[in-house]
This record gives sequence, C-alpha cells and structure tokens, in this order.
Amino acid sequence: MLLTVFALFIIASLLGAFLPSIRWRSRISCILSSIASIILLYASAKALLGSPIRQTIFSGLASIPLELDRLSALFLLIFSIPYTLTSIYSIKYIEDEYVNAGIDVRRHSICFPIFLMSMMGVILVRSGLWLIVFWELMSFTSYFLITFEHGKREVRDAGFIYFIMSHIAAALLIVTVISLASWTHPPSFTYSSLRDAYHRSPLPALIGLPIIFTIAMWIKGGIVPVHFWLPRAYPAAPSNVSALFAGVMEKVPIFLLTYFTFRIFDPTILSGLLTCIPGIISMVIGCLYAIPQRDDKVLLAYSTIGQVGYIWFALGAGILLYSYSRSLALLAIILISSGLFHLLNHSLFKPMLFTITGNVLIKTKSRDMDVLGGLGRAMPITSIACLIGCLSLIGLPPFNGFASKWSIYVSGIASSTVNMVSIPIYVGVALAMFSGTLTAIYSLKFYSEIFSGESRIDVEAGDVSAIILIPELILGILCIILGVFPGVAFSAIFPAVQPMIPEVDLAELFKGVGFLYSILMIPTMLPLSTMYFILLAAIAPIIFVIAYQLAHPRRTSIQPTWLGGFRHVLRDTKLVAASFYSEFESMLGSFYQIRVRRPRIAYPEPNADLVLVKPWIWIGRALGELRRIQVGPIQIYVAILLILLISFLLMGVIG
Amino acid sequence: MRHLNNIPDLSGFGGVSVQVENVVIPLASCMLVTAFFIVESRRLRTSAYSYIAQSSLLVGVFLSIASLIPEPHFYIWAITAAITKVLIVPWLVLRTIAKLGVEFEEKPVIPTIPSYIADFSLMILGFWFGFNLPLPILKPGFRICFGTSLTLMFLGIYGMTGKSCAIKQTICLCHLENGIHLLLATLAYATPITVEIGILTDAVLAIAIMLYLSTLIKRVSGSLSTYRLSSLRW
Amino acid sequence: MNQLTLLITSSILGGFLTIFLPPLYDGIHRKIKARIHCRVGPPVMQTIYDLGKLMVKDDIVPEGASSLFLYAPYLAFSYLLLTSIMVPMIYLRSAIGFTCDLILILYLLSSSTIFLALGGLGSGNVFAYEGARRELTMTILTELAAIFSLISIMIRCGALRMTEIYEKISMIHPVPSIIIASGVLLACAYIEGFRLPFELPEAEPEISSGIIIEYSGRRLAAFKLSVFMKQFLLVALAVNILEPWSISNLILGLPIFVLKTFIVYLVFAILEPLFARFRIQEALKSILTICGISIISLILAGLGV
Repeated sequence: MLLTVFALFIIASLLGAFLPSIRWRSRISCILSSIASIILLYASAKALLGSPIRQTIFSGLASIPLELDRLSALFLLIFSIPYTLTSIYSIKYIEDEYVNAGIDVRRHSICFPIFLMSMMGVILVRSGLWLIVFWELMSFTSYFLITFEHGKREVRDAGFIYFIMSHIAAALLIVTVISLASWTHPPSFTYSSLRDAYHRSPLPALIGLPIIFTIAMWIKGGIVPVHFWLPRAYPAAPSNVSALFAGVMEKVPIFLLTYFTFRIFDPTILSGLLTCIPGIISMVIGCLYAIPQRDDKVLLAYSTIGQVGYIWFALGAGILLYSYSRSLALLAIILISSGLFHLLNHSLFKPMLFTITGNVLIKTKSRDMDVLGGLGRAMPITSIACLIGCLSLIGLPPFNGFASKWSIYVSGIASSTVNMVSIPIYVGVALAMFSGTLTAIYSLKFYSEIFSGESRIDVEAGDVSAIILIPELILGILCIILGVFPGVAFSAIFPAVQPMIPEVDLAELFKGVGFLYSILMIPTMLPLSTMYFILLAAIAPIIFVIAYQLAHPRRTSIQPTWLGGFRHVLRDTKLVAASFYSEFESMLGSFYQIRVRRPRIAYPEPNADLVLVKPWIWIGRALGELRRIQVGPIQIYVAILLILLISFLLMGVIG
Repeated sequence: MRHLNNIPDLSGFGGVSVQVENVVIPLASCMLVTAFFIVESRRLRTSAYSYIAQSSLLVGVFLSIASLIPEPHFYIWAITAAITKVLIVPWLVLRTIAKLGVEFEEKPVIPTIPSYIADFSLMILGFWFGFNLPLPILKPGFRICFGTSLTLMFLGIYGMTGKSCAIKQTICLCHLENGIHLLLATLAYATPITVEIGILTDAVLAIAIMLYLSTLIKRVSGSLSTYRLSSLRW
Repeated sequence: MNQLTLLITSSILGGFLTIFLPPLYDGIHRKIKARIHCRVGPPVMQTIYDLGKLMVKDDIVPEGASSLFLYAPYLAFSYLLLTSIMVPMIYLRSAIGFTCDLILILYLLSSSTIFLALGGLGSGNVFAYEGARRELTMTILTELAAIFSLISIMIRCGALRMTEIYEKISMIHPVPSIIIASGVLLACAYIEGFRLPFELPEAEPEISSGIIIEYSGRRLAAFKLSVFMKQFLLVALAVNILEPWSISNLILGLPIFVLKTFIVYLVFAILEPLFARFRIQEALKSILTICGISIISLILAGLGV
C-alpha cells in the first residue's frame, strides 16, 4: 500500500508537468495528491492500531528499507490530515490565485506532490543514505515551492536564505550519518547498523554526534538561535505551501529527533537539555515577536516558532526526566505524549490559519493588517473558521489547544518535585503559561485586525468558493472534537510512544478506563472528576449562549456607532495593526531591534623598537596600573567586601 | 518563661496561643519585598519610604519577639530601633534629598536587568546559606528569617556596589544594618541589651556623617556619583 | 452532612455569593470612596439597583458590531460562573477529588478577560478598540504576575488541586513564598477589577468609556457584573490562600469567608481614592514591579522557602 502512495505522488507530479491543459494540470496534481494522502491516512491508521509494516522497495544496492512502525504511523497519520485537506484546498486555491491571473503553475504542480512524498519518505525510510536523499528532495522541492512568485525581490531573498539554512542542516545530517556509517562493520546505512556503530564509536563522537544532529534539527525546525529563515520563507510561499510548512515540515525534525534519540543515540541529560531549553527560548521569543507584526503571515510564522517551542519543550522535558532516572518513566512518557498531542493539534489549527490567510489573499490581494479589516461581514464562514483557529491557538477550553497545553502544564508541574533536573522544567512551565498569554494577545490582534471593524479596502461580499472552505471547516470540526474528547488522541499517541519507553506499561495502567475519560490520568495527581469539569467548561459556553437566546428581549434596535458626535466614516478611524501594542513595543524596543556590531579593525603598529624600549615602557605602565587599585571607585572596595563575606560563609558551609 | 517584674506575658492571650514564627515570618517576607524596592528603585524618595516601611517591619519583628517568646528586653530594642531607624535616619535622608534637590539617582554602575539578575542570585545565595550554614538556630521557624537576614545583608552590600549615587549608597548601608539587626534578632535573642544599643547609635552617627559627605561631594563635583571620585586619594 | 452534600452545597453557595456579593461590595466601595472625598455618596445598594435597572432597558446594538460583540459579555459571565462553582470558597477541605486544579481556574479567568476584550474589539467603535488595546496590553503583564504567583504556590505545595493546596498550606503555614504570592494575587485582583490607578480600559474620559462604550442594557449589566466577579474570584483565591482555615459547618464558615473578603475590599476602598488614573506607560511600569515581586515568590518557592 505504501508503494501505491509513492506511485500516486509521482504520477501526480508527472501529470502536473506534462498535461496539456493548464487548468487541469494543477487540478489533477492536487486531486491525485489528496487521493494519495487519504490512502496514507488509511495505511497509517491500520499500522497504528495493528502491527508495523516492513517493506523494502527494490532490492540489492538501491534497496530502500521502509518501516511503518507505531511512531512513524502516528506521525504519518498526523501528517495525512493536513496533506489531504491542503491538497483539496490547493485544487481551487492555485486556480483562483494564480491560474486565473495567468501565472504558469507548473512549478507548483510538479513540486507539490514530490514535496509531500519526500516528507513521507523521510519518516518512512530506515536507511541513512535514503534519509539524506529524501531530506535533500524535501529541501529542493520546498525551495522551489517557496520561490513560486520569483518575480518579487523578497521572495527570492527568502528562498535564498532558506536554501542555505536548509543545506547547512542537510550538511550536518550528512556528517552524522556518514561518520556513523563509517564505523559499521559490514558497511551499511540501515538504522540498526548505525545504532550498533554509535555504541561502538569513540567518546568524542558519542557526545558530539547527537549534538550535531540536534543542531541540524534545530535549523530545520525553526528553533530560536537559527530560526530566522522562517519568518521570511513563510510569507513568501503560497498559502497552501505555508500551511504545509507549518503543519508538516516543522514536525519532520521532531520525528527524526525523537526516533534518533530513542532508537539510535540513547537519551541523555545533554540531549534532553538541548531539546528542552531551546524549546523554552523559542516559545517565549516566537510569541513575543509575533505581537508587533503587521503582515499576517509573518505573525503566523512567529506563532509557529512559538508553538513548536512548546512541543520541543515537552519532548525535551520527557527526555530529561527519562535519562535522569528510569523510575520517572511514567512522567516522561506523559510529557512526551503531551508534546506529541500538541504537535497533532498544531498540525490541525495552524494549517487552518494559514489557509485562511490564503482566503483573505484571494479576496483582497493583501497581507497587510493595517489595511485589512471588517472582513467578518464579507466572509462570514471564513471568520468563523478563523475564530475557531484563534481560540484553539490560544487554548481555550472547548478547543484542542487547551487540552494539549493543559497536559503539558500539568505534567510539567507534576515533575517539578524532582531535584536539579526539574528546574528547567518548572521554569519552562512558568514561561509556557506566559507564552500562553502572549499567544492570546497576538491571536486576538490577528482576528480582530482582519475580521472586525471596517476595512480600508473595498471588498465585495461573498465568501470564497466551497472547495476552499470545506477543508478549513473540517479542520475546525476536528479541533473541537479533539478538544472535547482528547482521549481519542491519547489512545493513538500512547501506543506509539510506548515502544520507546518500555519501563511503563500504559495499557496496563489505563485498563478499565473508559474511552471518554482517558485523558491524562497521572495516578494520584488527577482524579476522574477533573475530566467532568473540563467537559463542563466545554459545555458551559454552549449552555449560556442558549440561555442568552432564551432570556434576551426580542426588541433590538440598531443605531449608528457613537464616535463622539462626529460623522466620520468608520474606515478612516481604524486602529492599525502597527500601533496595536505600541506601548509594549516601546518597552521592549531594544529587545526587538537587531544590534549591528561594527567590525573592529586593528592595524598593526610598526615594531622597530619592540625589543629594546617597549618592555620598559610596558613595565612602567603596569606599575602605573597597579596604582589604580588604590584610587578606584568605592564600589570596587565594597564589591571586594561582598565577595569576601560570601566566601567566608561558603567556607562555613563547606568546611 | 521568664518574667521581668511588671512586663506582662503576652505569649498566650485569650486562650489562643500565637506562635512567634507565625508573626515573624510574614514580617520577614514583607521586609524582603521592600528590600527590592530599596535597592532597585530609581527614585530616591521611594527608596527612603521603603526603608521606613522595612524598619517599621523590623520594629514589628522585635515587638513580636519581645511579647511572644517572650524576651522582654526586646521592647527596649524595639523602641530604640523605632526612634533611630524609623524616625531619625529617614528624616536625615529625606532632609538631605530635599536640600540637594535630587529626585532621581544617578545612572547606576550596573544596568537594570543585570542588576535584577544579581539581586535574584544573591537572594538564592542568601537562602542557600541560610539553610546550609551549621549555626545553631534556636527556633525551627527562624531558619527562614536567618536566610532572609543574610539576603538583606547581601542586597545591602550589593546596593553599595552597584549604585553610584552617594545617597543611594547610604540608604543601602542602612539596609545592611537592618539585615544585621534581623540576623542578631533571629540568632541571638538572648544577648544583653548594651550590645544592641551600641550598634544602633553607631548606625545613626555613620549615616549622618555619610549624608554630610554626600552634600560635600555634590558641592565639589557637581553630581552625587561616587564612581569617578578618583581625586580623593590622600 | 456527609462530604458530598457539603461539597455540593458549598459550591452552589459559592456561585450565589459570586453573583450577589460583588455588587454589594462595589456599593460599599463607592460609599467609602465618597466619604473619603467628603461627599455623601450613593447608598450602599446602589450598584445592585443600577444592575437591576440595566436589565430592563432596551437592547441597542451599533451597526458596526459583530456577533462577537453580542455574545462576549455572556460568555465571560458564564466562564466566571463556572469558575465560581469550582473554586472552593467556604469549605476548603475535601476528601473527594471534586475540585479542579489551579491551572484550569487560571485559564477560565484569563478566558473571561479575553472575552471581555474581544467584546470591545467586536463593537466596531474605535474608542472601544483603544480601550481593548490598553486592556490587552495591561493584561499581558497582569496575567504574567498572576501566573507566576500561582505557579509558585503550586510548586511550593507540590499539589495542583485546590483542596490539596489548602491543606498543605495550613500545614506548612507561614511560608514566605506563599505570603508574597497571595500579596501579588491581591494586587492582580485590584488591577483586574479596573480600580482607580488602573482604570484605563473602562470609564475613561479620554476615550469616552473605552470598551463599554457601545454596550447597553443587559449586555452592559453582564459586562459590569463580569468585571466585579473576576475581581471577587481573585480576592477569594488570594484570601483563602493566605488563611486557609476551614470549618465544615457551613453556617459558621460563611460569615468567616464574607468577613475575610470584606476586609480586603475595605482596604481596596480606602486605597482607591488615593490615586489618580495612570497613563498606560505608568500602569505598565507598576505592573512590571508587581511581576518582579511575583518572580521573587517564584524563586523562593523553588528554593523551598
């Protein structure tokens, strides 16, 4: 069945290249991609619930070992939902946006299915060589997709930066794979032989290779020190491609990281810290940078960095706990599962939000939130979908964002009773909650700047066509379902995570617990009844909206908006996006700016008398410097006092 | 329970016995919060008023030790501390501030955010010492007060290091004194009074001299910054 | 009565108190503020009369309004009502795990703030935007302070559920980190109630009433009541954390709880006339100071102090 999926993608791409009719080129490639994705969905669901599939395509030297084990099946299941829905979305989107404008979309119809296939391949292969091949394929196709509108300067620049960063990541990956492969005895690239090679490798490699690998995953995953390609690449790409980037391509490094950490390298405290701490930093910085943005896609790009930071934090915390002590395996598995649940949720609402910006782009040709606005009346269904997406992003109770963030918080706090290792975890939870507030802030800005109030552009009423709207609505419905019944997701995630952490038998632990109630049940931490209250929190708004409808008087009169007695046209007085949080920006202004360091150029002095005269001059100067101790500012003396005091006390403690 | 002649024993009144820790620990926590205002606030008056608040809390600590342990001679210490720390010293400081006409302190030696990080690190250090120093603490709840007093001392000395305004350094010195007195109160509340009164009067004299020096510095160099005072060598 | 009935009665009683007590407290607040201003002031029941009057007024909706505007005050009210049922106010111990954890409470409180801001944003009036914008900017930092203080309480007590936290506090009382944290929570309650130095989003002559400008009738009543309830819930949380005595006799427990909250409201009422309204930059600076104090409590909680 996997072969069918591969074949369908390749056929889609070929047809997209060679079909004579322009309109049908893009349509067929997208339609075939969506069919392939549905088959992928089915295959991965079957593998997750049933048994792993192992397959080898071709044989001999060019054999591609594929394995659909539980973890891969989970990831492919998560991916296939955005795959399918984005492909369906692309059918009409590419047509409306580009074909109708006369732009040649061959680049898209060739690369799109190959892009999907390459990501699938990265997840499925079990050979280092083919991993590199599919990874490079992914980088190339994504580059071509980003530079789709290569007429624009910033798109070309964005593509260039992306290309370089992506290949730096690929280079680091190649270094890892090849150095491991060089130590294999019968030379082979398969993961099992790489694992043996790792365990036999010398000490510097034992420590260094996971670090190099993790840095490669940072670059690709948009983690903060190396994230700067992301906010340029996402707006440059077409909306359906951005949706896939955010929903799928960001998750591929997470899969590789998880797989490699648990199956090839062993989970160590260092790898846990390297995953957890950059995750925390990305979480805060991503959300902080999203706040002052004017371009809606850049806002969503930074938001992606922030949310992916949550996932890395949870994963890193789990790895940290697991490597610290095997007895914390239960907490570790729950943290990792919460991280993967957030991954699932993010892959649902983030593509939805990106495709919504695509809708807005179709109607208004603009990404600038300063001029957008008031589209709620012109595009009612889109605005409802956007509201659902924003509320899921914020993490309010009936939606899935709440369930996953809550799981992360609860499991993070539960693990804060362990000693040194838990300091990053509980600092991370505090910062995660703070990022939650920041997320609320920028999503509210996003929603209200686009859909509320009055717009400054003329937009004709009438939403975009149904084929574009249906995938978004399906994603919205999935968000609500997973928010109210998170047990569904956990029942898929736990079997996937279980094989990596064999010390805990989750099936045994949750035996007898019902389908609906199987959300996080950390024993002795959360009783069953908490679930009731979460359900109640989900139902409460519905109850009260109904009550409102019943209790409210029928007589409603509509009056003009009060503007202090003036008769302004509302659109002239719109609150622009740039000034939405201006006080915050002025407070954090120095934080948001990039400081440019001027290079220091030192000119060497001519040294004729270097040997004879200079040393004496230097000694004289040094003695003069000694005099400085005496006439220094008071602060230094007091500082010496402080240091002496502390060292005496320290001697008291240690001695 | 020790009784001096006519000082009442308030350690159990109305049948509800109040533990001394229950009163001292909340007061010490509030002292910790005011410590941050004293050291970090840019406005000199805010530092002075926070110092008044902190000293009042210290007087409260003394009073509660006096009535609840009970250690009656702490009443005398409380009264002396009230007069010197809450009345005299802040009055001197505020008078100097008014006379010199300064509202905000000079630019500090260590900028804001590293300063806060240093404050928090010293707080962690102070409490770590408080819990790990093998000194005999007579009451179990007083470990926390011991840690608080060490933190106050560290913050006071750090304030003298990190700030360049002479008046601010004076206030931080007073803060250091507060910390030392809290230390004495928690560690050695059975010592005789004479030591304590001696320490208190020394504080007032030192503060008065430092404030006079501040006015001289302002007159000579035009600003209150002590960081560049290198022409004071003898 | 057995545990379960006690619990259910206490929860329902908590819900009723949260609806009816805050307007009464607001009336007392207005009276005390007036007296300090040397005026006679409105009668103590005035706020209740005002809310009642609003309930019978016509419903007027501006033409630029979105459906968010129509529903937001009710949503905020419903979230707050739900929280008030969940937060144990009178009976603080329970062997049955009936109560939810602090994170959920925090989320529900933040959700109600968000919905109030969303209502302002959905009204289509630029003054409301300005008020909502200021409220959101203030909320970032206030929520940060509240989050840090609640996390420090959770970490110090090593528990997430409210009843366990109360039990632990009464065992280890007094604890500096928890004292400082509840102080910060009280400060957040003051700010979230839009009391005078921080009255920016609401009734402001600069932006002619800010977020509530387009609300009228029942929606305005729901909005005002939501703000009162939010302040009350934060005060109830803080007060119970400061002094988690619990009496299983509801008849005795009720006056004690009312007395505790009354003392806090008294202090707030005396504080408010002392200040003039902050501009947004000054407000942010003050809230930053409160955040700094909450970081102190977080560090102390981590140290185990």
